[in-house]
Amino acid sequence: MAMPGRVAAIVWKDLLIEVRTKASFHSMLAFSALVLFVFSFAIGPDTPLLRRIAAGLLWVAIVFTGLLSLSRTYQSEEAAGGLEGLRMAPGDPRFIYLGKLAGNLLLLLALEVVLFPAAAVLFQIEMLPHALPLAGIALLGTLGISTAGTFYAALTLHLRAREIMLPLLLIPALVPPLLGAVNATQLVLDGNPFGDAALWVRLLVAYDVVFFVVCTWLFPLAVED
Amino acid sequence: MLRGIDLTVEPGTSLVLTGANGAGKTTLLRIIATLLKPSSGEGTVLGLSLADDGESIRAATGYVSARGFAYDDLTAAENLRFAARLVDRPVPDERIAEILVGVGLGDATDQTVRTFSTGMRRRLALAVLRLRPLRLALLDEPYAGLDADGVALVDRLVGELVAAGTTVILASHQSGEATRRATRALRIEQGRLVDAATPDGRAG
Repeated sequence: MAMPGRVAAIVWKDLLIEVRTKASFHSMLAFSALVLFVFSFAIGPDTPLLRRIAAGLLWVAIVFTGLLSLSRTYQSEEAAGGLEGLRMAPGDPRFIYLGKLAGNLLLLLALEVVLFPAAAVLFQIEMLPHALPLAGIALLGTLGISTAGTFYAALTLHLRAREIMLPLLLIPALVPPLLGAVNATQLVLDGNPFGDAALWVRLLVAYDVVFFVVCTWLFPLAVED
Repeated sequence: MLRGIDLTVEPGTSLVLTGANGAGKTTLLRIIATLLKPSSGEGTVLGLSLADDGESIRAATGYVSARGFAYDDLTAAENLRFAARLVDRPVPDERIAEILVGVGLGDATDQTVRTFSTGMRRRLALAVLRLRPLRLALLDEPYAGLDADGVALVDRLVGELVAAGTTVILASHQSGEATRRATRALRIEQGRLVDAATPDGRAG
């Protein structure tokens, strides 16, 4: 009972600060839109090509934007006086990881609610008929990014060059969910039955489960002084 | 670096730690709070093992760090409400307001902490100690940045805690009533604890 209450408290606090300052969401929105525009302008007005690689462009935009928000995961704690205030809470310190993970997941999913329709317009793709499978793939892919990202953000928290160390460590770790999400999304967008994407969906599920268990287990070591 | 620390504090008493900057006062408080693991040695806090019972020790301990702990974009009341939820003690709004009035922040309840002065931030940090009954309170530089009223507030707060049976350990450069009335005073010199005379001249 105590652990879910503390997780909810962190999510409530982080979302309240985000709603009040809009510090992360607005910059994430602007950055992701910029990534999509830059890619589509660089490739040119070749609509069939853009459609073929739409899923890749979309997920690259999500990963890059995710890096932006993940690097800020513990920023509010640092400004508030460090992680000590949270670590002094009674009980298992893993509630910090779970709360931060939930906050990152919600923020990225909120971004995707805007980003997927924007990509549909930009790349002239029919997404609405595939909304349900796309939502499932987005949830699994985003969970993978948030699970690993929240943990690596804690690992690099006290590093002097954390802005560069986080992407250097995290991007290689995100190759499996990126592969799974891109391939599953593209198969669905190409009008294939959802069953054809089962292999990639299974990869996403396996990654999410393994990383969630391992990162949650190791988190106390990542924040220990 | 701390060396050969051998310290016993009687329950329900107050201890003042003094020492030069960097002597290790904060390090010692953080070890007692289970935020930092000692490289060697062992200890018990509230009868519990520092190495094995961190969760139980934290459940009965309040720690006010020198920097304090408050979110700039939350109001004083929201910060306190969050702190209460972290320790599984949801507190009604009336009690939150009462606590804030008690630390002199009655007019700033709905003000975001970003607008607070250093002294107001310190008062908010101290307010957390009134959220729940504690067996151990650790205060790092509690007088820093406070005006005369603030110093009196710390003294009153420490007096209340000790009267309620809470063991209080203060690390402080400045002296106040609480440091003068402390049961015991120790000084950290070159990483070791030595007896010190209390500021009013009593032996530690």
